[in-house]
Amino acid sequence: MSKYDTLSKISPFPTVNLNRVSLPLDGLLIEIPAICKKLYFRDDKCKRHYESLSTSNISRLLKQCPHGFSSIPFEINNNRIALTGIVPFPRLGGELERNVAKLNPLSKLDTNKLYDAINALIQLVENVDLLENSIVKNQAMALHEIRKLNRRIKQTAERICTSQNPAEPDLAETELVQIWKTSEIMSQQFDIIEILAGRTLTELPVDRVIEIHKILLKCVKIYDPFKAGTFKISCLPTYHPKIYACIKTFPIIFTVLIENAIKYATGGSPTHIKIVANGRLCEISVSNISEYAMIDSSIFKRGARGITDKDGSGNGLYVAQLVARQHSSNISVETLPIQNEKMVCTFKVSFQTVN
Amino acid sequence: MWFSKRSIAEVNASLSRDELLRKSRLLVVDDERPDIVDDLKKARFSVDYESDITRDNMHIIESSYDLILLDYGNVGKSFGSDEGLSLLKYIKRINPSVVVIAYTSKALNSDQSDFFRLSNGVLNKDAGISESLEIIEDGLKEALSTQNLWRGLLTISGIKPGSDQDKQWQDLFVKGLEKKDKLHELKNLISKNTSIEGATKIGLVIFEKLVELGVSSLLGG
Repeated sequence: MSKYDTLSKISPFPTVNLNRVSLPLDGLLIEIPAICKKLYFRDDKCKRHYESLSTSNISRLLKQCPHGFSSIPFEINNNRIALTGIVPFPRLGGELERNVAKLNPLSKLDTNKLYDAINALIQLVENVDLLENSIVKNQAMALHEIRKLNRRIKQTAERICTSQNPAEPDLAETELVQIWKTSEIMSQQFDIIEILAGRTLTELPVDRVIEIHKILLKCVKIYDPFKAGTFKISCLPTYHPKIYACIKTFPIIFTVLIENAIKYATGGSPTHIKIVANGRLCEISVSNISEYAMIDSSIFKRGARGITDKDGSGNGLYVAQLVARQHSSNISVETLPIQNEKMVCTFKVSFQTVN
Repeated sequence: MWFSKRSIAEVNASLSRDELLRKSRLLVVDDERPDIVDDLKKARFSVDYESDITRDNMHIIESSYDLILLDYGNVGKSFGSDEGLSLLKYIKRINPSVVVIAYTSKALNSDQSDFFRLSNGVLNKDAGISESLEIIEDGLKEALSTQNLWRGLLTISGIKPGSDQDKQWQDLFVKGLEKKDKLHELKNLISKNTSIEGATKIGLVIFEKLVELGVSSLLGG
């Protein structure tokens, strides 16, 4: 959260972000005067008033706006912010100020108290920042520790499965394979949590050549270790597209689409995965039959959910879309109603291939 | 035809898996000894483990490791405040032909994410064992490729790729695989070009690896 975001939520007075000037936000106790909302968009006088505060080097000095209210700029680190919509006492003077003072008694404020309020707000924002950083750091540490435990479960299970059946560890004792694959799914979930916690992973470069098949088959293997027919994959046997990808994030696209397709498929219907070439593009689609629901691009919003009686945080597709965009692509969704209140739901995504 | 220069691209060396396991050496640097060390040994890789690289044991970077699996946290503090990233930068400066694989499951912030950018590959500590071994084997193939070794030799010798000097060295090397005196000439040039003692040593280690690969290529390996 930016310093302005924090301050605007706790300030009793209206605030304006001088780093990116726009209509001021209401304060907790005092709203921006109705006249301001009207005048701000009528001409550029208000905007120019705030811009003059943003470029000035002077801090904590009251300046009257063209309509008689006053604003006071100040800084928190490099964030320049102003409290505004104020009628100060002692007055700065002028007919306009007298008029707005009569009409807005709540906006009248002792200048000394104003300075105290600014100091208190800055202190509070800095404390909130400290707290936020400490929570983020502690959460990251906690997640790291949980990942370590999960890694132990996953790798131990894989070792036992491999010793039981060296040629095909996936066909070792069923319960063990289930432990192994479940911990693999948990690893994928941790990646999603990590992106939700801080999006730096999706800022990593897309610079490694990968084979789409390998990643896709690995994901399929996690969700269907016993080849129970959960998936129908169609692709030309000679088509093995390679793309540039970020190895840390790319698999998230497939795991989310596949997990969603399994979760929402009705009556044990299989998930269809198609990989087709379209010129230099490799198009991948993941389809399933599920109960009819209105699904459009809003499903990629954070917290959005298609069918609400199923488990899920509504963050998977949001994260998958972030990862797709990191790879200069975009996931789209189409629904085709079929009989008995069912639909075919298809998610599509394509990538530029490399030679 | 008599005067045409030979190119490193003619040396088409691809090692068999057995040769790769026999010829390669890898180092794991992690503050906590990871189980992957034992998995690698079991799979017949030649692997060493160090909990950290400090000013006291930094000479091991000059050894003939082909690949380093490098953790981020609690390592490399002798080289800078960015822990694993500081160590990665040091390794790449000292021995540019070493393939470094970033080995962490830690959430790194945007300042630290150069650790992933500057490494040759990324291996998540959460990855499965077979997947980990596959990534490491691919990394070793990259490390022991003529392209990677030649690039490393040029970097440590301060020669620009594609320059006349590069072309002259390539010619000497390829011809040297058939006429030993040319290889001697190249070896002398490497020693002269890399004036710092450590760099000369590493330059010659890379040279030996290239010769081994070249000979293997001539023998149809």
